[in-house]
Amino acid sequence: MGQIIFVVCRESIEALLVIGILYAWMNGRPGAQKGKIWLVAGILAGFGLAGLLTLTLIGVTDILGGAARDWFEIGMLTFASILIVQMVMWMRAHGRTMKKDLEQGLEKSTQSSNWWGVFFLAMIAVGREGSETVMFLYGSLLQLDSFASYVNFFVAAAIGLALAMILFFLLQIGGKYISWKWFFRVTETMLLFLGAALFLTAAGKLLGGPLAVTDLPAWMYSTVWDISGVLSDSSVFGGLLASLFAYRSQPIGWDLLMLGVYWVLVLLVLRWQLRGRESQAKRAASVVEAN
Amino acid sequence: MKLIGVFFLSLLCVLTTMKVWAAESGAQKSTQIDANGFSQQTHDPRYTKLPTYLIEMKDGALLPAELIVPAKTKFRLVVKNIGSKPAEFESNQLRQEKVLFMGANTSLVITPLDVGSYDYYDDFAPAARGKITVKAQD
Repeated sequence: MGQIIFVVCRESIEALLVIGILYAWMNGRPGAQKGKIWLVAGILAGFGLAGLLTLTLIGVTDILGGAARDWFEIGMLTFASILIVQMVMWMRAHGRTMKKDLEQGLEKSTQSSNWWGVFFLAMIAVGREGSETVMFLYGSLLQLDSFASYVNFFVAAAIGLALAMILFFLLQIGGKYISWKWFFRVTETMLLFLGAALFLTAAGKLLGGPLAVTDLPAWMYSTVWDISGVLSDSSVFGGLLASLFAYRSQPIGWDLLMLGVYWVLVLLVLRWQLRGRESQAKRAASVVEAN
Repeated sequence: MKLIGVFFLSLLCVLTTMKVWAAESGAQKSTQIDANGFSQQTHDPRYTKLPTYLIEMKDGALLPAELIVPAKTKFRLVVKNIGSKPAEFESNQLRQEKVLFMGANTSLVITPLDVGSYDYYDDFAPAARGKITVKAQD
């Protein structure tokens, strides 16, 4: 029973944290109402994805063979991290004008289509964590024999989910006491870090899967530092930091290279966006002056 | 014709029993330590290119709980779930996570490791901790 509570709580808290960050990031911004519907739709789609992934895990279907599964996961994770960066950029560009546009009824369908990002991220988060939970629960369910054990099972699963929800709401309440401006910054940064974590996981799967047959330069494999004595990423807290912020206690050259690639790309893209806006503003100003 | 059929059938029987016998012999399990102080390699006919080690997961227990492998050598882990519940082989330090239904097995390629210690555990029952100890070769 304890094991069921633990697994359900731990697996759902990771998905709930991703949803929580998305929710908090949208909250208070113009157009958030619409975004929340997309978020809920994404969660529901995530359950569907979890069910499908579970079928492949327990071997009911084999539509995804070993190598194909690796590529599928790598693709899904990379796609999710790109979506995050794209969403942050989009909100930076449109966040200010969106409220005005909404009020004036100028909202274009192209803008609402950008909530697809929220939809897919929620779907991927729920689908990934959910498939493991579903498989674990299904496997445990097969072991049950008496009525009492069934009752036990469902009570335990419910408690696990309830505990995760409580943690989730505590975090949401915590967010209410921070000023909005700060909150936007913080959630935006957290999203970018989440993108880094997803990207690094994808890179790890790439190294262990499709790239396993090739020999890369030795420095890529060697451990750069080892702080597992201070905070191991096998611990509960370290593991959470790993999946939300790309923390690694024993990173190898490859990990740091990939993280470097991610952050350099993200910062370049954001900078390029900022420059574009500045030059646009300048141009607009010069037009006004000319008139 | 019938005779040939019987011959092949009996040959098949003999071969399968031999295969079962070979698989059951403890000599291939990585729970044992070889003469050089490293874990015993397993011989899996599917994987012959890389040194291969076997980790079995049984309802939260990890067999072996410590695997000793040579440094800077790429190797393969065959992970089997022989328990009655699903298991998830996980190691952040090795960048691996694989969910295994009952009776399922998987193989993972581990990139060359530096001397040190790397954790692995069953994510569905993380009380038991396993570790891969990486030793320098003489």
